[in-house]
Amino acid sequence: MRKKKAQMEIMGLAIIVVLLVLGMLFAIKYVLFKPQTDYRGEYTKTQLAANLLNSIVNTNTECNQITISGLLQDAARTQPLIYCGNIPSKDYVKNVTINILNQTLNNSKLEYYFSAGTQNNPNVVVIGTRDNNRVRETKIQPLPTDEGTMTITLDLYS
Amino acid sequence: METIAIMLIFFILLVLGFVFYLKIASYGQVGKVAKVQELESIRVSQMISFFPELQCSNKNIIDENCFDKYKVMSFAVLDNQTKDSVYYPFFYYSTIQVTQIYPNGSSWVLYNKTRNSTSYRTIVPVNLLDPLTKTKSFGIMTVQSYTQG
Repeated sequence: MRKKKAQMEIMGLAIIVVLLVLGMLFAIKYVLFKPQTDYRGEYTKTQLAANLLNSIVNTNTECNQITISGLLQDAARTQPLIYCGNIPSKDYVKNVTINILNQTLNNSKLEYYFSAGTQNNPNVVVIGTRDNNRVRETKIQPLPTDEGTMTITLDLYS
Repeated sequence: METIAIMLIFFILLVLGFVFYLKIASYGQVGKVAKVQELESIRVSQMISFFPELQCSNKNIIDENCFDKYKVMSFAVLDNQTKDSVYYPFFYYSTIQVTQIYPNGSSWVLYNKTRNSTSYRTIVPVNLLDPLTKTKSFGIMTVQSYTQG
């Protein structure tokens, strides 16, 4: 009778231990291994891509103070009209964009892909290589040109 | 005797569980504080981006993502006392700097109140408008936000 009582008590203890272990496992799962949401990282990247593209196209260049969007519109023509010194608008705008993107993203160590093109000429300006397999923040801006709507795309890779 | 021993073990286990719970709870709190501080750094960078003292405007129409270069220059030379008394409630401990990237140009420190703590750095690309020539340069605003502890 006494032996049976002792066995029952050990059983009770075992149940308590099992319940405690289960509780600890739940706590570990939901607190320690909870996936961390990087709000700041997400915001920073989204905001950086959007502001970067918007600011680039509105910037006046040293080529007669024509904006980058103006040079892109000219570069989209079959016969471009604007030359910056001896450099055609297409090459000039590409160099300026590379310069701005490199200086801005150098510290962040973010890789990028920039492209501007129309339906007939999708590769008016292409900088970098697009990698569809990597996580990226993409911003697109349309720009009206004589050759139809130009799509300007900026990808920022993690 | 046995009952006392069992009760003793039970209470030891209970205390262990409680200590474990406290540890886990404090870990969660540290995470929450870090999140609040991250959000605070976002708030500062958003606030300065839409600050009327710096924004470009034409006939009361605000040009987003653009700073008036002359407003930036004027803000940069404000004395520290004014900055502390007027702008501390907005920016707390942070360093805000605007640098003209293209064409190569100057750099202005708009606000600088530092402390020895962790900091979060945010880069915001902006246009810098010269209202006299009506031209826009490309610049970046760097916001370094210092945490409270």
